[in-house]
Amino acid sequence: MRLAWRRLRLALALALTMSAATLGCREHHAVRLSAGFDRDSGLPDGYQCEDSSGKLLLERVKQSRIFSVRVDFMRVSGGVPVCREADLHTWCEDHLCERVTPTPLCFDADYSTGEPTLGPAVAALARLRDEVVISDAPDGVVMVRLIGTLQPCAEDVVNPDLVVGCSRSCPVRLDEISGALLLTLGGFPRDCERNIKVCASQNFREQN
Amino acid sequence: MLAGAPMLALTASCAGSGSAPSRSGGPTVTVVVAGDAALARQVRGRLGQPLGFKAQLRLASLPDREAPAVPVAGLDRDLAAARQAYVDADVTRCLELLAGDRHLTLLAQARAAEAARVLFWRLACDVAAGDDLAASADAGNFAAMGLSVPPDADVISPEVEARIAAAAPRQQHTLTIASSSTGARVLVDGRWRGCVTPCKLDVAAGDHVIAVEADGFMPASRILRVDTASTVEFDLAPASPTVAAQQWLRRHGAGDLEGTTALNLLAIAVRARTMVLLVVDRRERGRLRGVLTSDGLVLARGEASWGSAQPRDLVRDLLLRAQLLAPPPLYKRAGFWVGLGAAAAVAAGITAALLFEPEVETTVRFEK
Repeated sequence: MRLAWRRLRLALALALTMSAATLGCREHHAVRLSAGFDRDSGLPDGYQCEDSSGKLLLERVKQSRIFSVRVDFMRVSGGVPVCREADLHTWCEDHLCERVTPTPLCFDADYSTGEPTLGPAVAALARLRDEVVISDAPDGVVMVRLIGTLQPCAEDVVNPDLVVGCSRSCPVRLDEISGALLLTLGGFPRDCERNIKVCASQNFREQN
Repeated sequence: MLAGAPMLALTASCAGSGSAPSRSGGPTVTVVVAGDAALARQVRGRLGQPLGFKAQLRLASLPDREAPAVPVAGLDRDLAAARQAYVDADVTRCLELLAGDRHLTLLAQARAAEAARVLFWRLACDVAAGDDLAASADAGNFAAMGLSVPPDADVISPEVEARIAAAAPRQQHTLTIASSSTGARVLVDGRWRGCVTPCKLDVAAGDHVIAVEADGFMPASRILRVDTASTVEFDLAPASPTVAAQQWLRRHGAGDLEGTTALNLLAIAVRARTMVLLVVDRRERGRLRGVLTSDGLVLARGEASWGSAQPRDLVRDLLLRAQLLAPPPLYKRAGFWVGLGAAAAVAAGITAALLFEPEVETTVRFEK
């Protein structure tokens, strides 16, 4: 009898230890977002888009004097699609792609004083450096987006017509990777306006 | 080994071996505790506690040491009177006192010394009376029986011893001795001559006492006039508890405590069909040994550590192993629920370990 109790205690201790070890075990990953800041202009990738006249879309901030840069996550359901623009568009036509709310990070450019230049917008973009977006990334397959829009942070929904820059990551499971994750945008500056609108859309679909 | 150790017996019968079941429904068992006195007292005390299984234990005492031989009534008086009559030259009185086959009766009772005195003094009186025929017969019997001259023979005429020494060797006859139980020791005139039944012995012609003795049987003897080769058969009766106790005491004195024969003798002595002998010996670092016998068969042996085990647990273990006690159902055994709980705990732990996906925290931040 005494031996049996000893065995029970041993088994319980083993089970508790295993449970504690299992429950107490948390994995910590760190993902570094690489926005591809241009050394000369200070602008990240996806912010070099020009309109048909060859003017930077970001120049529009001089008229609007409103600019915010925000980082959010676009959840992609149904699996892990190929990262190419065309494939992603097709995927999101067939599957649910939706923005994860709330937006974890948003900086307003300060246009309250001074001449309207790109400076405050670039400064707002520069604030992103070494900034923590989120300490516990969302589960599932997501894309990380970096959206620049002529809207204040107070407006949660992005208007595609006011988007002046956007870059994104490939669809990934953030809990399963570590290291650098590149934010970029396909296409050349002259023909990327359509791409940034899709990139910044609510469901990653082309707006009609 | 354990000579002189105090002993104690608990007596019983056994339902499993055919006897009536006890009131509790289980077997009734005799438990004998032997060994170190202090430890044996502790064993006794623990056996008095509730058993926890269906059996009845009964306490009985073993007989003490073998009682000294009781003097034969009137023998010493008659011998003293005969000796005095011989000294007084009253041979008629002497012969009257020692007439008959008293010496043979004494031999049958394994009292060779007293038998020698009777025959020797009668021989002396025969010589003193001048009865040459009777003297020759008694001298011949004395020599043939191999008796020794008694120590109080100092007043005897040297002629008496000379008659014994000069007794003509008698013709030898072969006796064939058999018994209902083989292996009994054969004693001729109180002396063992290496014969174990069935066997043959050459015996000088004349009167002899042939006796047989065997453990577990009553001793038997026969006075026999040997004048030709003959066969003697003995039908041995089972030993009475008293005789069995005496036989067991002799074996116990020789250090045999747990042998089959010793156990059977002990069972008879304590009047038990089913008996457990528990031996606790301090020299063996408190080991408790147990032997279970039933109807003359050793059914189980076992031992336990005295420090941790209860004597009743050892008794129960022996009864279970001998199938005299029905084993409890699986779910009622002490270790069942404990083992089941342990197995479930381990299974749950393993399942949790296999199925659990650890929580992952991923920090997302921009490069510098």
